[in-house]
Amino acid sequence: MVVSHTNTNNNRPVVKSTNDHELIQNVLSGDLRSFDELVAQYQNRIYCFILKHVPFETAEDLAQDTFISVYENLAQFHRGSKFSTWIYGIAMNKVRNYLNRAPERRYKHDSAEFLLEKQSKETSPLERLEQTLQIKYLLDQLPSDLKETIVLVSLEGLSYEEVAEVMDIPIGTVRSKVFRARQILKNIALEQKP
Amino acid sequence: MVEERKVILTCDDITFLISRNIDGDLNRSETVQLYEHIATCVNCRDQMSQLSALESSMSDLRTHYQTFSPSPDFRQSIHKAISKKKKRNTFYDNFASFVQKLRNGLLFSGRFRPAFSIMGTVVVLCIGVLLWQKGTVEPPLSKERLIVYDIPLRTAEDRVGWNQQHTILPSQTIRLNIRESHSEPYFFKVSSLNPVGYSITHSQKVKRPQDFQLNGVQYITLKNPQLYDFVNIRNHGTSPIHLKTFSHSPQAIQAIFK
Repeated sequence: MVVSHTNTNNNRPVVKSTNDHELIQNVLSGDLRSFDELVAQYQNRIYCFILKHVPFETAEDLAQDTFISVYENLAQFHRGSKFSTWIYGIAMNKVRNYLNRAPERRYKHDSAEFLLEKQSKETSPLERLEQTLQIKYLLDQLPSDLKETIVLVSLEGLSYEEVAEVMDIPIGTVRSKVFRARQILKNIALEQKP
Repeated sequence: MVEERKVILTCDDITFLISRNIDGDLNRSETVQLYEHIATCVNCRDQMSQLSALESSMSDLRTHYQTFSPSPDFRQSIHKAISKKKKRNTFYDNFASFVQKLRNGLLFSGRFRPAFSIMGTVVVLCIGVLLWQKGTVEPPLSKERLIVYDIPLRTAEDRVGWNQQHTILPSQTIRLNIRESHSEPYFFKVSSLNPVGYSITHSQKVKRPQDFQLNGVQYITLKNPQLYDFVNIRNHGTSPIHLKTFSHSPQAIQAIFK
């Protein structure tokens, strides 16, 4: 698979899944190295996606569980579907299961120090960093279904069609969820503005 | 994409279009309508700039997250976990494949067919004879559930609401059939004024009666009683044994003397 950060009109990364199906076929024939390749290609995306929903110390475990489930259920993957959408769906279920097991986990967030520590290696100005932390905080205030949708659209760069497939909901619902999420985010941001 | 349509849109509709426009979801006609409206409506223009600012922050957050990656041994851990699971599943796979063959009739085809037919008939007959002899179907019991323990005579007068009382005469056997399952244990209390030997056979260990020496009072606990469980108590001594039973209802235990 070729991962290219091609700039579309939305300036979002686009992932070309040219030989995913070939790799999947190899894995199904018993080639574990091909699976390793699949993991290598998707590990960062899936890990970061999970990290947007759960605390740092849990994200890696859930990402591993996701790939193990991918391996176990690969035979059920339909060739007509997009592999990235399918794997996002599995990761989403892992996140939901984790959060549903103990509802208070929804309100446990990574400390600002953790995010700051990572960011301090970058050269972005402090104001920008504060803004980043602020938007992370705002996202965590959203109802879970709206957060899931806006994360997939705005942070993962999936199209509405892809999100509809991942979440197994109609595309019209995706549109309205994204709209509602943005309205809530905007309103909270305006309220908090001094 | 939503099909093209020419309708007059309200500011609320336009706000919705602004959101969709950010994600590149508008068709040409909708884009034209959006920008025509924006050109004349200050409120919607504000909305657009606010949502654009929000999206710009989201873009920063996206960039921020791209700096994270799992630990270097991430792939190795997955490899290990999969290998471990594979080993564990091999046995089950083989068993499943055997069952599948069985279901497909592969094992019962060809020249071995008559042999398998005869074997099958014999097995069915044996099971039938066993059931006929026992009269009941006994569930397999996994853990030891029958416990016998001595109670000092002084504390034996307890407050248990005993359901049934029986006397087992010398050389007599009483069979206690469990007729109702329950999550709580059932209790049996055996007592005798003189030292007396007795044996207990219960459905968990049909072929292995356990011998006990009664010298006062003993309690027998049957944990997790199940329908079709039974407990046989045989008096080997020369004095009668007094038996009391406790179950959640008097009908839960059926006593039969042999």
